[in-house]
Amino acid sequence: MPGRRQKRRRHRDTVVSEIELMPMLNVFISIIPLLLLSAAFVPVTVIKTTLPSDQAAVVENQNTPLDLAIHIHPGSYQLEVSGSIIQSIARGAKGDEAAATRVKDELKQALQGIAAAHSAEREVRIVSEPRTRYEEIVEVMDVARGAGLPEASLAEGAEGS
Amino acid sequence: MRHRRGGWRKKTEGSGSVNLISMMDILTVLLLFLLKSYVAGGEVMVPPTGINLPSSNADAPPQSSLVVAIDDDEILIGNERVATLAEALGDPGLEIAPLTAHLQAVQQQQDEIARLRGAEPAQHRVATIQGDRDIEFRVLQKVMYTLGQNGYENISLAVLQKS
Repeated sequence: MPGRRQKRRRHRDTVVSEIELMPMLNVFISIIPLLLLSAAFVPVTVIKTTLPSDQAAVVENQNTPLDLAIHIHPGSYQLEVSGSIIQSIARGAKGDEAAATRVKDELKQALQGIAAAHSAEREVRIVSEPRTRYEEIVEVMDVARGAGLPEASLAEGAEGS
Repeated sequence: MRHRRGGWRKKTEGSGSVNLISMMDILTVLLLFLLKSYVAGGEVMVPPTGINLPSSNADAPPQSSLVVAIDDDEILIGNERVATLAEALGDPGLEIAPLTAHLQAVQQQQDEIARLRGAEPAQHRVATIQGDRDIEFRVLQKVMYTLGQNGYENISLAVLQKS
């Protein structure tokens, strides 16, 4: 008798141990391509900015201790403090990565000097020409953020000035 | 002969079941990785095809907002074309009329949804601009001005995070 019982139990165990995986596999195969298609492997972040409004700029100028602006021109970056240009940094030829990095470092150092002298200053106005490329504006925003001026507002400057 | 046939059948029965456990392991790991990337990322923003966002070292995560995409020849809200750049630049003023009309329609829809839910209509609206890296500032300025005129005071610029 004990031998028979053991045999029966062993038979039952063998039947239960097989799991049907095909439905689960089908679900996985449907979900994974969907997720892969909609996945963002390069993370998208945002830069918060304010509107290029003339009125807003005037109000802000009255409240903030320093009116700091970076003018983006095709050939140079100009730093303006309280209405007067204090420094002009010549930009290298287009496509010259080494020169572009050097110019950005120079701009960053100049901005760091101003930020250190006015510790309350956190805002910078980025004045672009109508045909300035968006990428150039974002690069200048990055430099300003790296120099301790995280709040950037955009404004339009005259072309070729 | 009979004995041989029986043996052959036994062999085929044995090799018929495929071992799927290893494949299931791979798929489970892949699924968990993909789901985690969604959960960790919070709001997932995928730029439309044809738009190359500029790279930046900004690390602020995107928030749920109205997304306005600008590629090299048209302005889109969601996947819907709102205006061409030629139309936007053709108007001497700063406001883009077709974009204003579309934003007002979106606002009406949102206000209606809020009313049905019994909530107050949103006062401070949030918008995110997904602009191609090569667009000109005059286009960006017009889009930002139009958004501002239509109650979108908080504007973010979407960028790709530099590694």
